[in-house]
Amino acid sequence: MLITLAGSAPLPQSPWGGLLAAYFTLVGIPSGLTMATLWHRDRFGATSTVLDWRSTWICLVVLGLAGLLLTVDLGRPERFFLMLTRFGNWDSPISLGAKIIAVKMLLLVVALYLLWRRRGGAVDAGVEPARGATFVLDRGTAWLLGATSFALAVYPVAVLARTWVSPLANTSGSALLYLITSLLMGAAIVQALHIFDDQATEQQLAAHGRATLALLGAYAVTMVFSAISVSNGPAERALTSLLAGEWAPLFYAGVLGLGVVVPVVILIAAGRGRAGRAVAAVAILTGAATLRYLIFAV
Amino acid sequence: MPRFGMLIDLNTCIGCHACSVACKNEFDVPLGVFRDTVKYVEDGAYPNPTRHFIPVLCNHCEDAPCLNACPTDAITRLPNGEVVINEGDCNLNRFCMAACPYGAIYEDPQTQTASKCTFCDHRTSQGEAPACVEACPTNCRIFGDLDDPDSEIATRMRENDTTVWKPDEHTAPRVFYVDPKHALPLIVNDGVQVDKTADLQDS
Repeated sequence: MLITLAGSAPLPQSPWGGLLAAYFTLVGIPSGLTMATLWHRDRFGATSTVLDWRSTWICLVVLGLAGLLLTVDLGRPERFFLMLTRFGNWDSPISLGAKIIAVKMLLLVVALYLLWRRRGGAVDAGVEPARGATFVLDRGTAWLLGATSFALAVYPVAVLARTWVSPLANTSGSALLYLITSLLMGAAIVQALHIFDDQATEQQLAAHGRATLALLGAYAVTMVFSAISVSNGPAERALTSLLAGEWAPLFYAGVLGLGVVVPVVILIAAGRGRAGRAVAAVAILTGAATLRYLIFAV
Repeated sequence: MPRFGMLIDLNTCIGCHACSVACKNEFDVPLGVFRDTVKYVEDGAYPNPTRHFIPVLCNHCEDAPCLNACPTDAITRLPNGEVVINEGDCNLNRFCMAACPYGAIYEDPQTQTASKCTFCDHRTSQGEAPACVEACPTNCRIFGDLDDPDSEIATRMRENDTTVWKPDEHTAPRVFYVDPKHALPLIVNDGVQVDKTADLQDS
């Protein structure tokens, strides 16, 4: 049957471009890094100050950059504040996400201030245990940071699933994949930060290595089940394009090769050597970011 | 309060684009974008080819994805059901465009806001019909109160089988079509669809 449609739709192209692709890719970093840092602090509290300090700064800067990307992408950036000041539509995930980003940035500033106070104002000084109201504030901030980070790890999927731009985001495993890629990117940056952290012990490096390997395993399993759960329709066409179409080279080389195989081999074979950990961290970051981008773009 | 809707009879649309022109004129819609346009689809092969004309516009859905998506409350529903964009509250985040499965919202380069068909709310509030309805030479568009059983649109909907564009999206559109030749499903999302297997060669 011959079917020709020459009259185009009012808006046939995707309204979202490269800036938002970068945003949805990058916004996972501060979420994962905060959660990885909280996990580290919970297990190795006495020796977590340097990592805490550096990772909190990185989270603040990257989250600020992500917010800047969102703002620059607006057609009327001077009205960005409407995202934060309008509370009439709680159904809008992008509205909710913008408010959570603002809350998390505030919490990160509070966390940095508390950390700075506990160190007595000097970055390299030792940590004094928090007491009384400071202890409550410290713990409360950490819990809230964890909660906002978790929300920001999965909220991009809620945004994308409401659109026709990203059919893969509308599948059963996409939220879990965004969560795991966030955690992986956080774990990778912690691995990289440990290279320059004199406080990091062999025990800590081993624990982080095992946790990262476990995450990579969960990541691979989630990808498999997410793929086989896709039903007919736009998502299936997008998956076919990802696995056997124009996006396949990026998926196999970037997501599977660089994002899973390379770091697993390095973490198992190279142990805790600095160079190996650095390469594994870069590979994980690249692979996780590539998958997040593909879920957005395909 | 009326609940406005539109019925488009594809039997009588001749693809003249009078509706598109009237809409452009009414709202000074910029070049390259449309609030209301007519798609055409060629169906069938020689010696029985057919061309369908399908006017498309904002469906003013009962469950409007754009309204739920807008993070700045710029998109609202009027008491008569018309879904409109308040330009002052729009910061052009384009989420509504990404959420609308009909591609009915466009970026207005002059105002730097999202824009779309309003069912001519400035006219309907005065008891007049939308510009596209008035301009149609074959009266293929019927506009009116869906809840009034005596209105022409309600009568025509009772007398005809009607359908909506993309029923699988479950948006409950309030633009209905009389489509006996099942042309609506032939519209694809991707805009221009070209049959590469056609035997007509470029000279």
